[in-house]
Amino acid sequence: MTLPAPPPVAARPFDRESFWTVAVGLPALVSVLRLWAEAGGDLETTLLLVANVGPVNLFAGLVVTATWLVSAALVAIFAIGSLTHAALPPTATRLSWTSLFAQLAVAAPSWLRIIAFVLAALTWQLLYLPLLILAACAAFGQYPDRNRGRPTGWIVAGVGYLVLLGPVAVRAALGGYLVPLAYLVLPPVLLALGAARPVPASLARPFAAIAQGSTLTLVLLAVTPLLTTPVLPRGVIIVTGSDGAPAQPVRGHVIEVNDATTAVLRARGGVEFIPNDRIADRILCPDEGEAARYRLWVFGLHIEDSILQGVGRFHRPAVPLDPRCRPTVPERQPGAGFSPVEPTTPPSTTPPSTTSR
Amino acid sequence: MLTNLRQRFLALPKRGRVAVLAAIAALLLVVSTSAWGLVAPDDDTIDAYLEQSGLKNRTELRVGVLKDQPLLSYAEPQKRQSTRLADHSGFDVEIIRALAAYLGFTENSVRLIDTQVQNRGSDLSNDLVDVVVASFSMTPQREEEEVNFAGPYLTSKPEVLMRADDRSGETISIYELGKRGERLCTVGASTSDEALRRSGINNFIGVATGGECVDGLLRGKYDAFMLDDVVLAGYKADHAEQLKLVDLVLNQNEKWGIAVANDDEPLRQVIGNFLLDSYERRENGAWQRAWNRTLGRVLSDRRQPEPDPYQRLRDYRDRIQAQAQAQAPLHHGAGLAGSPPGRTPVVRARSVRRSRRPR
Repeated sequence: MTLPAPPPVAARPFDRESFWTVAVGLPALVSVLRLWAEAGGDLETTLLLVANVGPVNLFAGLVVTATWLVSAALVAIFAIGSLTHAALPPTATRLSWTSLFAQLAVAAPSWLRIIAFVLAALTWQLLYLPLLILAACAAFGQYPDRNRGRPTGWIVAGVGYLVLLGPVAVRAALGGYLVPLAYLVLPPVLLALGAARPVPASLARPFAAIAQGSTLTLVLLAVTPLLTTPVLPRGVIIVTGSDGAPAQPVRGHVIEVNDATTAVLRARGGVEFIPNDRIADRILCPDEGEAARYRLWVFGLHIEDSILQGVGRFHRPAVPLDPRCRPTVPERQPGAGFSPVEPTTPPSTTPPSTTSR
Repeated sequence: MLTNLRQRFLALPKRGRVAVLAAIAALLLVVSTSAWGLVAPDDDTIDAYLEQSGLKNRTELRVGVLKDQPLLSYAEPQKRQSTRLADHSGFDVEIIRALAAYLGFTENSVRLIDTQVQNRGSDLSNDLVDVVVASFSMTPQREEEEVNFAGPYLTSKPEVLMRADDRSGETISIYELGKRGERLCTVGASTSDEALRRSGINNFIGVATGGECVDGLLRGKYDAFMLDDVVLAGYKADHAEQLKLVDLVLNQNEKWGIAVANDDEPLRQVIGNFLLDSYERRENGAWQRAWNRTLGRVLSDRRQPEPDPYQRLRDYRDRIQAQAQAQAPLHHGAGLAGSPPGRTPVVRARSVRRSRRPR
């Protein structure tokens, strides 16, 4: 009878407890910070938001806006970690900077790798998917190599890539869009040149230091726009004028609706409680950040949409923009007050409050 | 340190060196483009340009129009005083409807203000209107002196409207037309007026509105009414039995533009983008829809003229264009049967035009 071989001693330099603490605690922290940023840094407004935004909504909002970043960080760790595998010290006992990603990549279970890449494929803009292919090749150790036999598979893959994305690359070149062109053309070229090949041991450590430093810097830079992404949907509330004055828009985010008032966080700051009987219309508007940068489409999907977004758009094509979402028509002045529709005080004693036009 | 790295690099086999360089290039690609993405300018959007334009803080959009051109821009005589969009009809009115929505104005906040051909430029410079959509030909002289144009949104050529019983054939030369003298009518200060004068014809009658020429033509006061074909098409449609269109042999094509005040470059750019957007959406564009509903009923099948180049501004709607572009190939093949429900109106509009009978 032979005993089963002892499991290989994997380098697991961090304990699971702290991992799960970070995995659960960080989203909660980021969510609260986002509320703070959304409130314009004002404590009272933050508290009002906290009181009205449910934890589930907050978490869902975070998932929608931050999944791409989390998956991007994981993909970077796995890709750079595999590339710099040679930087691993012979006996891994504790984390060291020059082999940090390599150690994390070795320690990560394969299900986490697969989930990270699947999430990235679904939530990254189509534009970045060629880069994801390059990263996946690096992370899973797939690269063209003469010593591994005939490269038939790679040639087929290259032709397939050309057929799929060649036309859009040509359109990008004709349209003068250099960034998308670089993203479409360079990853397969670099892959063919061996960018997914593990870096030789002699250079692995300096390469790891630079790559890890750049990744961390980029993630930190990307956190700022993430924190300022709105938590609440952007919209326009049309408020009827008193004394026959024309209706005026209030632009901002609806915090709360009760049976008497609607609380709106105005786009330029400040909260306004609008009596419900003065609200003529509510419109949902797209976020300013959604304006696309390139006019390029792949099989009908916009190149700046993720696969999830694109499929969703096919399923329910977006409605045309409501004209009232434009910033042309002036907003109602903040703090203009809401005089009751039927004044309770005689007009001779109190002049009716006027709404500014 | 660097020398050390260089030595280590040079010690690698050739393929290893290439691979390391490729990995560094991939890293540089990610870093440089991501950094650019974070600092890229965001003031090249339609919204940002609208904020800089003369329309900022306007509650109403005032549009200068002509109101007596059937199928182009027309209001019933008893409704000429009305400024509501709903009381008007025609190609220009449909374009204004779409343009106003693009600029941020609902249908109720658009005012159509009656203008005269000779007042179109001065109305803009006197701030009586914000834009003019009124058969305004884009001429270098006007652009230099009077107004700024976004366009072209329509092209036209001068033609002649005559009574159906007139003995002239299907075409007429400007020389023959000139012989009609005072029995030739056109609208003063129009490009037809200029064309006649350039040809040495000065004794024709120039009036203020096209309606006067048509009345005179019907009553026998005039024999011929020379003006742009798209304008005459509407009068012809109104009096199909009494009047006929005669082709004028004259190599002159007019480009019509949407005029804005001379100093409002942001607004001109936004309107230019509106036209480009419509041009790119082809059958789904505002232009084609307007044409199919109005002038397309009388004139032949036409496509939007290509707008001048404008700085492409970004907009939320850009992503939605995917549908129009993705489905465009369906039109060229036999794929119409498989086109989704959204395409149906276009198909229907085409079949209506094919089965059109002369009116």
